[in-house]
Amino acid sequence: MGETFVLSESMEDYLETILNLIKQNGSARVTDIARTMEVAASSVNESINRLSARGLVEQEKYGPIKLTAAGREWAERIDCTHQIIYLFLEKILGIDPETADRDACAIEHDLSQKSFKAMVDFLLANGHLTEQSCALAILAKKEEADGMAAKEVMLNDLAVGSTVEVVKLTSKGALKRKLMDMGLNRGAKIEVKGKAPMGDPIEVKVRGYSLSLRKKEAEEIMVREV
Amino acid sequence: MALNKTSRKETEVKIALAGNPNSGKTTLFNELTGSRQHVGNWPGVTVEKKTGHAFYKEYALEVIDLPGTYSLGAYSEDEVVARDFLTAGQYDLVLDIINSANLERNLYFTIQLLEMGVDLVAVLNMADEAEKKGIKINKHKLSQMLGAPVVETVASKGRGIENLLAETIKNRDLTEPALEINYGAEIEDLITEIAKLFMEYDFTNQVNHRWAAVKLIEHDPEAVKLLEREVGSSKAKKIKSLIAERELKAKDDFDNIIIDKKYELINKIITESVKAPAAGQEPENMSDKIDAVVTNKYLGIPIFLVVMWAIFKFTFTLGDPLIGYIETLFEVIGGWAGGLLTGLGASPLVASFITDGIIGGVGSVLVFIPNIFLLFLAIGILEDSGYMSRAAYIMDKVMSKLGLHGKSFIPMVIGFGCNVPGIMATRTLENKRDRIISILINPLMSCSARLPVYVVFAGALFPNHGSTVVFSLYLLGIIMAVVMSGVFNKLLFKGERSHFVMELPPYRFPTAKGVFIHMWEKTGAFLKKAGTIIFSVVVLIWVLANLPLGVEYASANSFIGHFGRFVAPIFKPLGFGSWQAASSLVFGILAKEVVVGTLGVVYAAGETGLRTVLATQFTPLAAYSFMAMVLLYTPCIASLGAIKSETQSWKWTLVTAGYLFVLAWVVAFIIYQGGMLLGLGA
Repeated sequence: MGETFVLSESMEDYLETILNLIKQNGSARVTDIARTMEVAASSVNESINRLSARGLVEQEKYGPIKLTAAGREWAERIDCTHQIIYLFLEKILGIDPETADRDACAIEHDLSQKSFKAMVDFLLANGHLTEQSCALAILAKKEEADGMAAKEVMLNDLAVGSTVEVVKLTSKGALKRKLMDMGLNRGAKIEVKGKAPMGDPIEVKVRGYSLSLRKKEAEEIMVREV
Repeated sequence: MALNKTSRKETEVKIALAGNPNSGKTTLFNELTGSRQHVGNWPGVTVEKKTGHAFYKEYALEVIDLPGTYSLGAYSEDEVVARDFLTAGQYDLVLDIINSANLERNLYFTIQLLEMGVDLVAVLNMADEAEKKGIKINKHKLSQMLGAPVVETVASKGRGIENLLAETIKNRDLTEPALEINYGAEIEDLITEIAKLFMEYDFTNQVNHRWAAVKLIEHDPEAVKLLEREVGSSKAKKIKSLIAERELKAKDDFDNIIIDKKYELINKIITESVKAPAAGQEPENMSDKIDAVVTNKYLGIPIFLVVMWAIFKFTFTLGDPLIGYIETLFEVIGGWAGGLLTGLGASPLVASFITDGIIGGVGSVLVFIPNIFLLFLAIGILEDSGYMSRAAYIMDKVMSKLGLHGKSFIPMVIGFGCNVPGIMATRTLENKRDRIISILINPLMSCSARLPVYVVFAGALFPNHGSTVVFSLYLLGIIMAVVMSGVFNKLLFKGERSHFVMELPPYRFPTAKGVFIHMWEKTGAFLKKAGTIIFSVVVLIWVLANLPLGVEYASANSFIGHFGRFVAPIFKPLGFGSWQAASSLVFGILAKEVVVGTLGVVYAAGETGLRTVLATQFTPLAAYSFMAMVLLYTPCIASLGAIKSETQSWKWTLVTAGYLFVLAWVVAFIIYQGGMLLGLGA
C-alpha cells in the first residue's frame, strides 16, 4: 500500500505528531499541530493538503485532522522506529534521555531495515523488549510483504499446470479493459492449461472457462502462486 | 425503467436477444424465428444485424439479435452497437441469454445490463451442459437476487422455448429499478457529486444517470462523448477533471475497484444460488480430452493441415463440377434464348445483348454459388463445433508475426481456391482491423482462375520450366501478402494493437439447422449485395466491347479496343505495350481467366493457336512480367463486389482496387527492367 512511495522527513514528522496528538487528546487540530511542532499554521495547512493528496490524512473543512488507514500505518511505523532507537541509545549505550530523544528524531527517517532489525534483536535478547512490541509486528509484516513480492511473476513465465492468482494488470487502456472483461481481474484464479504447438499463445482456465492469450498479453498480468 | 418503450398494438412485442458469444444466442434466435429472418447491417458499421419474427398465441414478436459481446464497454464495434441499441430503449424486453455452464462470466454481462436499467428475462440456456457438469442452479433464489425472472432452456434441442415465450409475454411490461452496486465510499461520493453536476448542467439524456456516472468514472470513451454532446465540452471537462483529481488521491484505479465490486456481487449471487461440485470433484471434461489431442505439441499442426486440406477439397473438388453444370445450364439457356430471339426477328446485336450480356451476367454471378455454399457449410461446422477457435490458436504464432490474427489463416487458404469466398470467410474475425487487413491482402492469394493464364504463358514461353514458373508466381503472391500486411499495419492502423484474448469454447455437436441457416444467409447476402455489382459490370463491359454499333466484339475498333490502345503506353515499361495485352487486362477484371480468352480473340488465334502467337509476341521476360501483372493487379469484379459487401464501404473497395494495380505495376516494372539490366531480355 503506502510503501510504494517515499515521504520527506518533515512529512513523516507531521504524521508522527498527528498520531501522538490523537493518542493524547483524541483529536489533532491545525493549531495544536502548529504549537507542538513550533511552525506557522499556514505551513501546517500546506503540509496537510499534501498528505491528503496522498491519501494519508483526511480533513473536513475546518474540522480536526484524521489519519487514514494508510496514514496511521505509516505514522505508527515511524513512531515505533523512534521508540526502538531511543531505547537502544538510552538502555544499551547509556545516553541521557534528552539527547537520545533528539537523536532518535534525526535518525528515524533514514534507518535501514537491516539496522532496525539488528537493534530489535539486541533489545529483545537483553530483555528490554517484550514479544508484544510494535517493532515485531512491523518486522513480521515486512517479511510477509517481501516473501510475497518474491513469488510474484508474470503469467507468461509460468509452466503448464501452474495454478495462480492475479495480483494486478500492468497494461492500460483497451487491453486492460478486455482482460478485466474476460474475468482476469485481481484475485481471479488461473490455471495454465497448455501452450499452442508453436509455444504461443497459451491457454488458461479462468472463472470456469478456457481462454487463450498471447504471451505478450500474458506479460501484462502479474500473478502469484497459490 | 425510464426509457421510452415502444408503443404499438397490444399484441405486438419487440424483444432483443443479448448475451455472451458461445451462449447459444444464435441457436435460440434460430429456434424462435426459424426461417423468418432478415440479415442486414447496423447503420454505419460492418456489424451484422439480424431480425426475425416469432408468434405465440395472439402475439406477434419482433426479435432482434444483438451482437454477442462479453461486456458493454466501448472497445469494439459490437459492444457499441449493442449498447447504443440498449440505451435507445426501442424495445419492450431483453432476453439475456446465459450459458448455464459458465454462470460466473455470463453474469458479468447480466449485471451490466441490470445496472443500465434494462428490463430483462434471464434465460439459463444450455441447461443440459450445466447438468452434465454437476451444476445445480436455484432458479428462484437467482431470480430474487437479480431482480429479474429466470427461465431455463436448451435451445439446441428446442427445450423450454414455449415456456420462454410465455414468460416473455407475461413480462413484456416489466419495469424494475436499475441495479445499484455499492462501490465503496470513495466512488459513491463521487457518483453523488457527478449526479449533482448532471442536474446543474442540465444533463437530460434518458440513460440511467447513475450508470452514466459510473461509466464516466471508468473513463469510458463513449460515455465521455455522450456527456460532451449533452452539456458541451467545457462542462464535460469539469466533470472529467473532478474524476481525475479524485482518482489521483485514491489508493487504486477506479476501474479496478468497479470491476472487483462487480465480481464480488457475482460471487455472492453464485454462492447463494448455485451448487457446483468442489474443485477437483468435477466430472471428466470431454473438451479438455479433445484439446489434449487437437492442440497437442506434435499432433496439433498435422491435424490442422488435414482439416484445411479437407475444407479446400470439399469446397472446390465438390463445387467445381457443380459450377460446370451451372455454366452448361447457362450456355443452354443462352443458346435457346438466342435461337428464340433470332426466330422472333431480333437483330443479332439485341440477341447477343440478351444472351451474352444479360444471361451471361446472371450466370457469372451464379457460378460462385456452389463454392460459397460448400465453404460456409464447412465453416459453419468448424465454428459451431468449436474447432475454429483452436485452428486460430494453433496458427496465431505465425499469423501474429505478419500483424494478423490466427483466424486470418482460413480466409487465406480459401483464397487459393477463389478470393470471393476467401473474402467472405473473413467474417469470422471479430476485430475490424484484422478483418480489413485480411480482406485487403486476400486477392494476393493466387486463385484458381489465374492458373489458366499461367498455364498458357508458361506453356508457350517456358516449355521446360513450366511448373517452376507457376510455383514462383504462387510464392510471389504470398510474399506480397506478407509485405503488404506489414505495410497496412504500419500505415493504416498505426498504434492499434490487435490482441488474442479469445475464449476457447467447449466442443459441441453442430446442429444441422444452425449450419444450414448460416449457409443460406451467406449465399443470400452474396447474391443480393455482390451480385448486383458483378452483374452491372459484366453488362457494362459487354456494351463497351460492342460499341460503336457494328463493330466486332472486343476488336481494335470497339470502345474497349480504343481504351486498350489509349492505356497501352502505361504497360510499355513492363514489356507488354500492345493494345491487345492492355485490353485483355481490362477484360480480366470480369474474371482473371478471361484474359486468355480475350487474347485468343484479339490475336484472332483461338485458344489452341494462342501459344504459338504468344511465343512470337512476348519474350520470356515480358511473359513473366505479364503473369506477375495478372497475379497482382486489380482483382476481378466478383472479388470487388465481395469486398464492398463485406466492408460496407466503397472506400475500402477502391483502396483495394487501386493499391493492387499500383503494386502490380511496380513489381512487373522491377521484374522487366531488372531482368533487362541482368541481360535476361533476349
